[in-house]
Amino acid sequence: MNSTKRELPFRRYLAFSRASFLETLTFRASLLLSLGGSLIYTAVVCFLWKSIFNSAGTEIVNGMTYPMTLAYVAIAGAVTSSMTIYLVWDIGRDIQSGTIALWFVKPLDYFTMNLFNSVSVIVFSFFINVVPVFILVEILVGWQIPFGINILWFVLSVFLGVIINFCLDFMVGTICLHTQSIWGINIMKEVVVSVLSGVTVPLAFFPDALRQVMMFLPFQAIFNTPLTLMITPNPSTELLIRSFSIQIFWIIVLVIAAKSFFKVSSRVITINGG
Amino acid sequence: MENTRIRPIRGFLFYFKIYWMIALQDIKSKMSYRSDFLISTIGMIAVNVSGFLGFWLVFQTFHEINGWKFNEILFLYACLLLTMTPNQIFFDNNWSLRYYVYSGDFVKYCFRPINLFFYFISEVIDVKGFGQFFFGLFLLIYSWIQLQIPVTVGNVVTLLVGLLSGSLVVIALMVAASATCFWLMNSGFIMVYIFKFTDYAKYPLSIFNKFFQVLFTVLIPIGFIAYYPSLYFLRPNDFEWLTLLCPVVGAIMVLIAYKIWMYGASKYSGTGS
Repeated sequence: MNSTKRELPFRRYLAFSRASFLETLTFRASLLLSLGGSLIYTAVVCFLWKSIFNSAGTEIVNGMTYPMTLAYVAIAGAVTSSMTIYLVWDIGRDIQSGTIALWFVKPLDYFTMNLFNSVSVIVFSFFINVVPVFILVEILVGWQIPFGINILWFVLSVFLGVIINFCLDFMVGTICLHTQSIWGINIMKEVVVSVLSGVTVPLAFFPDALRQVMMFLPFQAIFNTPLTLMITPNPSTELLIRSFSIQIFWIIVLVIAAKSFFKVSSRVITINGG
Repeated sequence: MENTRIRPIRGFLFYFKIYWMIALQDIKSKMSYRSDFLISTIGMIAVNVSGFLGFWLVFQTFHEINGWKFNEILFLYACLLLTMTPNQIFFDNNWSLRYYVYSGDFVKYCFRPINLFFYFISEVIDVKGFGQFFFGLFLLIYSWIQLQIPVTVGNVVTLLVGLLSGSLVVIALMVAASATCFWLMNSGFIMVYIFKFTDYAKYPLSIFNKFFQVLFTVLIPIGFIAYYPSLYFLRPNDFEWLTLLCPVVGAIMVLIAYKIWMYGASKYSGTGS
């Protein structure tokens, strides 16, 4: 059996990326609605932060101007809604219904399969959501957000952030193996990520001590890192190296953690009806 | 036999008794998943706490939003949490409506000699909503004391009326959103959408421009959920006449939403199996 043809390492998983991409395409109405939601969210946070900055009386607060804050918060919202793919629910349902057993007998890695499944959907809905929101933000702040190499750093860094978020989602989904509660676990994860990553309020406005702690957690690497790179006009080489190496560090740690946690947990799976 | 005669309209007491019977079964079945109940309740409170933390963090750096102080924003947020509670606890089955319609199981509700909407809604009581209720109540009492609003019978009654009308608006929005699934397959995303809008009710309407103020008053009337009712307490000298309209708006909206829901249900033709 040694004569099996060698294939590219991830080729078989690309089929999943393609399938989930096509599946997303069939739900166009919900895609458009999610874009509408992102645009309205942008308008709401625009009014909110405009009145906050107006009341403050100064232009720059904690190193952030109003255009920077708006870009940060609005794009964070758009990225969040393109990252919301209900992975925890999918894994939870696989576990509760027992379909997960079918994945064990296939020559596929459950983690990698889900990763390829999710990434194509996220990349697609990223373009649908984030590009229009970015343009709207630029119009609202009169093209004050630089449009150059910073966008490239942002896109690269968001991609790494997506993988970090995927690992967290996967781990949270695995917890459902032990607790049988999907809604509660999922909502807690969403809350923790949205507060600690800077989506609700940019990390720059956190009290100093709290921000220091946040920098040691993986959550800020999902949103705060790419968004900071986006609103910084001329990032220093040091900032770039630090940002990307922290993200890569978390990816390595979390991939190993997620995979081993799943491996340990899959031994305790009990499926109704045997 | 005299008492098996089907009467089209029944008394309040009759429905109350039935409600209790049906809801009790649901609570019993929920209680058999105790860890799920516990985790969901914690999750619910976590969501509310994060909303609170959002404002708290903003007010660490800034001192007011468009003339609104921290405790006033807190009061508004507490009102929102409390008005969301009745919908969360008693109308949670609406989230499952689309599955029942899609799979055809909805037909089981059509063969009972009681009000269709009532029977469907009474089937689920969402206990985790009580977590939200107590957190909202805690915030309300805290901000009430901080703002030094006098505790008079008039104020308490007005607050209750305000919260009740706000709840009716939330219920109406969500009932109407869920009813869309009678026409559109799998319209869950519309419910998620409207639900997200209700979250914007935690901001004072005065921060928006005229266009959005009209939008949030007329088209998607989230202003009536918490903003207009709480103006009575936060801006006692110049609250708007819309504040006085709250109960009327709530009642009319619920009536319309109920009609839409029932109309959709009457169009329901099953799945043919």
